[in-house]
Amino acid sequence: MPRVTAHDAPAPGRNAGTAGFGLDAAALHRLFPFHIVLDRALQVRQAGPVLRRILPALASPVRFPDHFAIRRPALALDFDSLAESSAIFLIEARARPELVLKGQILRCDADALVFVGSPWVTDLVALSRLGLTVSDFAIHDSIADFLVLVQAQKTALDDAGQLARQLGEARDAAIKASRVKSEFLANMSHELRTPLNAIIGFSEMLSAETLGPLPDHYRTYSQYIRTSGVMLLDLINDLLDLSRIEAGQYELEESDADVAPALAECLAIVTADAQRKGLTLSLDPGPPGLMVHVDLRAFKQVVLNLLSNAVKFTEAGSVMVTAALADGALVVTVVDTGIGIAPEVMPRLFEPFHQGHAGLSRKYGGSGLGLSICRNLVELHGGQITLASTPQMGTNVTVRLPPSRVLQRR
Amino acid sequence: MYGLINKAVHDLVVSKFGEAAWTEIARKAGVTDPTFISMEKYPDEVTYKLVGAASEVLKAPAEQILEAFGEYWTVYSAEAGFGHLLEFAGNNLVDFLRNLDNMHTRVALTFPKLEPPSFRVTDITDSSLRLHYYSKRPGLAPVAKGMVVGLGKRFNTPVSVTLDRSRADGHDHDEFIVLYGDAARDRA
Repeated sequence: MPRVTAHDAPAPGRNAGTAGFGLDAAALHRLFPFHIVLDRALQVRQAGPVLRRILPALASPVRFPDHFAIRRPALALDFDSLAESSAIFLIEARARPELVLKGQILRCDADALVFVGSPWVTDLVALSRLGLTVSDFAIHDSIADFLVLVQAQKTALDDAGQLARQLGEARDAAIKASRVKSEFLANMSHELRTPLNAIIGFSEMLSAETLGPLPDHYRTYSQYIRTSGVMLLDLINDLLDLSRIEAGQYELEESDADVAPALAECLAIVTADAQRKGLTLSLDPGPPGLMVHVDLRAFKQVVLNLLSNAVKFTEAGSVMVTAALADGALVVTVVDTGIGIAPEVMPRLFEPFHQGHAGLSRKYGGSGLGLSICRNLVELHGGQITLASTPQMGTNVTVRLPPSRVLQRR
Repeated sequence: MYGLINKAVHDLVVSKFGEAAWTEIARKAGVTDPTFISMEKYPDEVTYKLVGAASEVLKAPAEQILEAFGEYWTVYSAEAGFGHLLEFAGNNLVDFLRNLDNMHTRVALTFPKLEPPSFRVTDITDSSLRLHYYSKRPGLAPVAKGMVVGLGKRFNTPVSVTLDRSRADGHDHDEFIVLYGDAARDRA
């Protein structure tokens, strides 16, 4: 009966904690189903039962080098070199090159070596090609666990790929739906404006008593109609702008424009409201002759929107607009001493339909589109808009247009 | 349970009864996110609720649903990327069942939160064996039964499975008598 015994095993009963032990053939075969025992002439004297099943030639004595090639390590193929090596061995079966055994070689005694190891594979397909199942491996062999792990990771990766595809499809569908919505909004806004022109126009005629005097309350009602109509028109214009921007249909009509008069014009529009609230308005137009290359309507729309917000959300104190050059860029700043903005709502402010909180829209009105439109218009110009605020102290909005947009008249 | 199980429940329902039935089952089970991630652990409660809701919607006893699931699992797990793992576990019914416990142990090493069931095979003859099924989860013996039926189909071996001892009767585990080959054909 083949018997492998550690050659430095102490005598039985001595130093039992580190004693070597003998294994009978059955135990050896169960523990090392792929082992190979070689003699000094490198004859295969014995091989594990599963290895013999895959390589039937091993049933009779054969020369190891005739049936196996050592892929690693690189060493002379003789008994002593093999015995002295402590390397990882990768041994390929010549008859079945897909069978690569990974393991180590130990000297059993003066004239015998044992290779212990098992097939090295990185996927289960290779194992099934070799006709191996889980019961062909020793329980202590981690290769089966490793393969389960690899398979699980493959499944997880497939899953991730599938989820990514689904997410991509959902994103495409959402983008398409959003574009369709924007196009619809753009069309509808246009359709809505047409009848509003009649409502505003005729209510203006009525308020002005163009066609003859009206009783007082009818005149008041016609003014209500006009005011409401103008508010509705502003809202629709905002929606139209936003939908055109979102649909990628907003085209800038660019020209060279003076900064100071544009700012002054915007300031003039909010002056009446500011005066009603007792606010101080001021303008610092920056260096004389400062010009920018912009869509002037859009530029003024941004500044006016920021000034309107500043006046709207300031109960006492001042609103100031300044223009300056910084590193060649135009920096327009609107500073107020109003209610400010809570830090938690700041990140959402430039998203459409958001105001500071729901209560604000009830108290101050507005669609919540203004800042979103401002940001989009500024970005269409290659600029940035930023906002700093301290609640109850005030807000500071900065628009920065790149140096390429700045011209300075000499 | 891992998401893979819930995905299998989804696929079973959709393949046999259509997407509408699944939508109704998921709604009744309170499943709001329809996407299960295979390798993520979900509370067992989710799976139990899905089975309960499926029983209600499909008007079939829960045992029948669970048994159908067990049978489907042998097909689904192979298709979900574990086919080679199943091949690795054995190429005939008896070997496969004998390796089943070790396979679950190995899988549990990779998925530490798995808490898989345990299996033991005794009394093996040429035509029958006794399959012992241990699980921390209550009421899933029909899944094990369905799984053996599914394995019979996988290995093209007629099987007949009878629950011989049940946890429901106070035993600490369930035991099935599995007839296979001609013995099962004779029984049928």
